[in-house]
Amino acid sequence: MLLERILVGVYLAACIGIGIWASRKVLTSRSEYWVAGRRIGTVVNSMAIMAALASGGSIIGVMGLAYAQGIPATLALFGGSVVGFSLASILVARPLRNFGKFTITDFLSFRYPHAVVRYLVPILIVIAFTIYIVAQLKAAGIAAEALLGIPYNTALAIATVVFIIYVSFGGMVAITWTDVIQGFLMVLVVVGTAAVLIWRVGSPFEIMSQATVVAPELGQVAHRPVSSYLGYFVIWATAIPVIPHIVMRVFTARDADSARMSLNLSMLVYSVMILAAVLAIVPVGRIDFPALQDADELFLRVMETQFSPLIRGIAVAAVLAAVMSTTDALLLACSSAIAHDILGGAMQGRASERTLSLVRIVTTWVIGIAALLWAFSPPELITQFYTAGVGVLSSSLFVPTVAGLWWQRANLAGGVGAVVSGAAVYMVVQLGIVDIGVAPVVVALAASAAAMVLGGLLGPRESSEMVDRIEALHGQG
Amino acid sequence: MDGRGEVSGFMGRALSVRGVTYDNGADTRARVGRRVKLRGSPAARTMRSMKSFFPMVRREGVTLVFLIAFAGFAFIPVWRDLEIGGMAVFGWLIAALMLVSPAVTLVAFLRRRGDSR
Repeated sequence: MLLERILVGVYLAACIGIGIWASRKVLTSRSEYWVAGRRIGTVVNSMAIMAALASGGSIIGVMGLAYAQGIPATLALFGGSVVGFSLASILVARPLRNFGKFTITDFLSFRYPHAVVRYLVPILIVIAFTIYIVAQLKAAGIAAEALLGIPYNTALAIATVVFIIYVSFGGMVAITWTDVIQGFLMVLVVVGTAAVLIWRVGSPFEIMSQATVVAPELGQVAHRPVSSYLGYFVIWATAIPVIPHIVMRVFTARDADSARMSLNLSMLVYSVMILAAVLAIVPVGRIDFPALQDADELFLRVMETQFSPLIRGIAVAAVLAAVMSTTDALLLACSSAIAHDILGGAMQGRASERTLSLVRIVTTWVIGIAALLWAFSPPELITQFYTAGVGVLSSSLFVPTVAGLWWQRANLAGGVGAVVSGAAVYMVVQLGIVDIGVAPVVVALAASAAAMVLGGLLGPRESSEMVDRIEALHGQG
Repeated sequence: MDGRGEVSGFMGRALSVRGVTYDNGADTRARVGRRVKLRGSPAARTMRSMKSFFPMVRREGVTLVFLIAFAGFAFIPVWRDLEIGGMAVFGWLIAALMLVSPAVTLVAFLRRRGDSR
């Protein structure tokens, strides 16, 4: 395993190097730290967006989920992400980029200026993203344990410290460039692996046919309630336009057109990668490993049996890349929720740039360490776990964001009601306090939309200044 | 004064009034013969009272409706039970959606950008 360890060591050292290089630029400027000075080009941004979304869940998790619950239900989840990119491109990318701030909370608290929005939204982001980060860390731990022979906890600690270093000191600039490397690496490994397996068998349809003869349940979905996989789809379709680590990428783009083009290109690459994983690698793994204890180990087992040590080393680096490219973006978004959205507002004008910079670094370390401690005892089926966390954000942020950008009657009462009711209803239904047989996110989005419509129609109209300002956001960026 | 239906209200509602097209930015300059500022004018107030949504380019509205309709079609329960090549038709439809969605959104975006140049 020496070769694999050297490859991973080089990769981790490169990440730290980029963080140190970036720190010279970003530590003295809020704009540089949170949104890389808003000058990221289209191709770089599209690969960074793809890498930010394509997490450990998109390599380890997608295959584990398809193995355990069948391919159609898994495609529903990831298909939701792809449609979400379209919604993001059409509905939010242009106006949010033209808005020109740093976070989704900035927009919502501008549109609905109330303490509930200013503080509840970042708190929801921190809760959901901490869950998300823990799931990613688990993917890093099991990958390193399985292919490098490093104990789970040790691997976890090393990976976490590395990305905390480059995120806390290098901000969005470091994240962007590490994500570009990580994005290329994971596309190369997943699509390359799928291509080799297809070439060996003949065609993807042949692989599917062979696998579904051995394991018919792989291609079936009829035994599952529609609400379960409809819920997956809706959560991700409505999360992508508002999820903070993707929205921050929109803010890093040079202009509105570049932001939209980046989203469009990234979803193309993402689709190809997910389809390659699910339609080629999973069926082969299902034939070779019919009774895995932990479904999330599927990809690593396939790599172990099908490829040489050099390829395996690159594969481990790719899994770590997938984990780190998402986790670093999540960590920055989480850090921005506390350091920018909550503390930044309170300290505005009273603290020096040096103090604010220190707050950003400390916040990043605290969140990273807290997630690490939780990840020592991780949950099972990571994709389901973090999808539930993301559901809180979809339920509470999608309606107020989209209505705030497109509906002239959206007002303070509707906005606050939509955020609060979306989050509350989702949690009540998700935790099983009330069981109505419908996917929690569907109920929560309906509640959020109802609150928005009621508030908008019954509450006072927004001022014409606000309407003019929102209207201006739809212009050419 | 050429509206040509290029600028429309959200979900396809046209913003042309008496042959004059009202738009909210520079995007549609190439297709709009005469642009009229919305802000402040009596026409603008009339327009505002007529619509609840900010205008969306028709092509993007159509793309949005198409994608939602495609997704809705894929989730029709009958596709759960039918199988092709060992997989439920539902799975193939979602796989197709994953390729169609980026493709149509990209085309809509590129055509809009082409129009605005």
